[in-house]
Amino acid sequence: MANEPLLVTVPKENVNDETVRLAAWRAAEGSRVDAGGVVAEIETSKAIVEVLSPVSGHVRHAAKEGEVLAVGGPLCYITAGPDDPMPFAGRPRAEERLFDAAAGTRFSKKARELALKHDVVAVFTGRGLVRESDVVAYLRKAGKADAVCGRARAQTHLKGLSVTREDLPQRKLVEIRSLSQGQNAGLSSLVSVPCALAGFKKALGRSPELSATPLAKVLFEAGRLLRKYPILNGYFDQGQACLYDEVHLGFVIDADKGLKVPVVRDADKKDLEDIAREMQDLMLAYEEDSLSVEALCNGTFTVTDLSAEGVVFFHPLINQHQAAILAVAAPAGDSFDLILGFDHRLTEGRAAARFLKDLRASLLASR
Amino acid sequence: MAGTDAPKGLSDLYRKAFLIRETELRLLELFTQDKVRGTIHACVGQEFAGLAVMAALREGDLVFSNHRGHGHFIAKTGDLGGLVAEVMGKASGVCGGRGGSQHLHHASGFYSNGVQGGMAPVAAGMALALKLEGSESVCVVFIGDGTLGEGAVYETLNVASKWDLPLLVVVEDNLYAQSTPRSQTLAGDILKRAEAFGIQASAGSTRDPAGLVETAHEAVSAVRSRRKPRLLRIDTYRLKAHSKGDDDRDASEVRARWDEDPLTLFAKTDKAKASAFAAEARKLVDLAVAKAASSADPEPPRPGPGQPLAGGRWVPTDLTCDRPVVALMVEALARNMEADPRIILLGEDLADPYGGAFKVTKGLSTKFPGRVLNTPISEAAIVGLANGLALRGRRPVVEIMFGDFLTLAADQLVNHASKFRYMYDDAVRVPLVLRTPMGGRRGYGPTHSQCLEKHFLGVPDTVMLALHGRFDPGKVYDALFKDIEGPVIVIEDKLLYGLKLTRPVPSGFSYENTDEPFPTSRMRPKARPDLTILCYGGMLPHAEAASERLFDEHDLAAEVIAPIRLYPFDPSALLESVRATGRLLVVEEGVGFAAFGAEAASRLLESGGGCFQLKRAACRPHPVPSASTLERQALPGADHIVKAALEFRYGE
Repeated sequence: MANEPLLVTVPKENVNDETVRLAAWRAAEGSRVDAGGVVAEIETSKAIVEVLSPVSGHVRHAAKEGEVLAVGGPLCYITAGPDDPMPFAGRPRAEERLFDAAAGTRFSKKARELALKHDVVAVFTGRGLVRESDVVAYLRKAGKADAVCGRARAQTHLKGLSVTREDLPQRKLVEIRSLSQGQNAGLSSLVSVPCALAGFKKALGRSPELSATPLAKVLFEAGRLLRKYPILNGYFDQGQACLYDEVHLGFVIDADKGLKVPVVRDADKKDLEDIAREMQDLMLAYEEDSLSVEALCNGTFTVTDLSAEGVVFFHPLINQHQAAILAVAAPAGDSFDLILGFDHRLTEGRAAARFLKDLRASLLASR
Repeated sequence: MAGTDAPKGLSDLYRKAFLIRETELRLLELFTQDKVRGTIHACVGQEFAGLAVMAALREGDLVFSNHRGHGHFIAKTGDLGGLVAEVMGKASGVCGGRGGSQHLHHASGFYSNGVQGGMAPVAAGMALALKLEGSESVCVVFIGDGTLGEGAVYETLNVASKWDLPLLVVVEDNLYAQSTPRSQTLAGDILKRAEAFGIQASAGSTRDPAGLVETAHEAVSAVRSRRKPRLLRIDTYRLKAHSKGDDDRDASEVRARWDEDPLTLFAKTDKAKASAFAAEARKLVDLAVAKAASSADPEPPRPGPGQPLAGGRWVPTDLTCDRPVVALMVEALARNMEADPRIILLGEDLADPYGGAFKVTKGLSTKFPGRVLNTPISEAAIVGLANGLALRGRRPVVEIMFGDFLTLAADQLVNHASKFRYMYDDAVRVPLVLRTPMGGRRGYGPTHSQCLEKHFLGVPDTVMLALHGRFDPGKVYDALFKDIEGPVIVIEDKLLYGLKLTRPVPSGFSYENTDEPFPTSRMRPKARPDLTILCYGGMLPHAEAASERLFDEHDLAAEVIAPIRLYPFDPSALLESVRATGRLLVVEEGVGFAAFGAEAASRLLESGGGCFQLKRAACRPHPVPSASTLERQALPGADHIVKAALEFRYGE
């Protein structure tokens, strides 16, 4: 018998069994067995089978009676002496115990490193899943912002909204460098597609709730579509695309009380009717000068409509920390233009056109 | 029917023969006038085959017929009006115009179908039901010499003989399999084929109607009294084309047969009677045709408001039962067999001591003697038998040992079980449960490791369930037996049986299920979810493992949705999740093309799921290899799921 403990695995006795039950130990813990001696009885789906020791030595149990064991998994060890050390894992390290204490909480690897580094593990007790961004948010709030900035390719918070940071492909970085020469900020570009007026009016006709706010239809469809085009629902930052996890649509109002952009939150998750109602409420608030600060914050994409002004084409400007702006122009002949101003650092004209065409299709669809 | 419609003496037999002949000739004429759609297979020349056999039947006996079944139908039921209206596609037809010429049903015990040989095991199943009831009735199945090329016939002869079933197999030997002469298709001897299975066989001919009546009577009486199968060969000749205008036989051969046709000869010997019978028959047929012509066309169902997406309420899943899934299944079967004596189990190697290849029926044959039937290795016959049992009101539960072998029973599932209710105008039900384990990861290789459910998914009227290890399969079986109306395929998983519900749920996640009979399960992250993983059956443990890695290593929280009922599919639960995440990853163990995942994603779009990103992970499009390194690569596991999920992260 060698000095190393010898592992005895659960034998495969029946081709269709993945597991067996340990019916009984026939050799007590630490007791001596001879080679070929019976150590245990296992119950397969067909029969009770005896497991024999391949060598002489002392039996060290690795399972309890009645336990269901995986075929091929450990059953017991045979050691030279009755008290030889077993090849089991040692005691948990101090930090493991720390995480055990934060019961009910699961840290991602990055969250765990960061929480350990700043000694804030206990803060998250009972919090479910903890991402790196959650730890960052806590540290920021606790005034340790400096401690967590850096080049982490992680989710960070901007304006209190969570974003997912993505590396831009190399070609994009090269393109940005070449296009950026001579410009300080964005690389704004523009595409437009014509949309049949009659078809749009027909689609509107099917939804009487839209008579007051036909633009609601545009917000509704654009909101859902942004799920498919996440790159248009974000912003460019330091060579990375920051994609918002939520879709909050701002829409431009400019009547007698100055240009304002109230925001319909979670527009991708709301019904057409809800959006129309919310827009009407916001417009009323605008009229009454009662728009709250919250109602004007945190748009992730903007829609502007100058059709009432008879403007058949214009260049909308992208808002800060956004990737694109959608404009609705007035009809020229039997169609009107849908225009998308977008940050060329994030996407291209063809993709933007695809977004507009998808939008046009859903605006005209008979849903 | 016996006593009323059965021929009284030979004269009455001729009267009936004229009626069948006139009916067939008129239907052929209506076809040329474009008043009958599709095609018809006329039995002109073979009338006495059906008549002689039916003359020996009693009320309660059951008849299974084939594509050439008009004569059998009239002889058995006498319902001329119902037949003519059915063939003419009218609402007043015996099947409301749904079945047509080849798919007839009559409440007095008549069933026909248009697939060669398929009704043989169904008839045997009905005969088994009669045997279990201790009935004196018998079953008759009509096949042709051409049908003797079908394997299901021999599976049936074998089991009918082995189990002593009261079944008479009538072979109408008209010398042709459609257009091909028997000499090119049939080896050996028809009677000896039956005798090889230990089945006594006899023969008669339609050229001798009186003798045939005797022979048929002897055969039926023997089946009735000895409770054993018999085979009766009836030599006959089809005087018209197989179907319509497809007759390539030598004209002189056909002419010679017309000359020796019993009705031709009868007209020569008893001209007055023959004219009287023919005139009477014409009158009846005229009446039936006129009545059918003036009656209403079947009305297509009006489009209703559509089933609203109901979904269910989410409730926490009870995962406290600490026994392997297989034990829960055995108990559920036992519990339901105890409660419902109609339940009967059929399959290969089910009885003790073996108890099924995966031990799902262990102990049941001991506990319920006579209700767990070990069958021969005959998948078509097993499901056919179950179809017959189900038609008689039993609750057959079939086990197909490996899901891969479902292909061998495909005809019984697709052309029989799923069609009877509709094509027999809702007059019958087929409450059949078919259980089978799918899936690989055990190294069984290409023909014992597949997930073939997609080929049976979406068969109308056939429910498909997929069990998984995070919802008590026993509860699924309880719900199933409580309310079974039609065929249900239950996909089990080869690795499912040994699992326990109690194995730890990944920390940071919890399980919920909808409060429906066949619930959808959801593994919910305790954080805002980033993506939705849709899976079913054996993929769930892999989706769990992938979710753990996606969170630990990539900061991504996945919500896993696992429906039990794949068809009909209710996308509500999935819709709710994808609306929140905007990202759907479909994972399935079978080949993904045209499979459940594609269907689910389409349903999502149709239900207004709007815009979401979609990725899929599925089996590589080649057979499942045996070697573990190859199999691991071919079948999607946690690695594949993680990789596919990470593809979501940039742009479109």
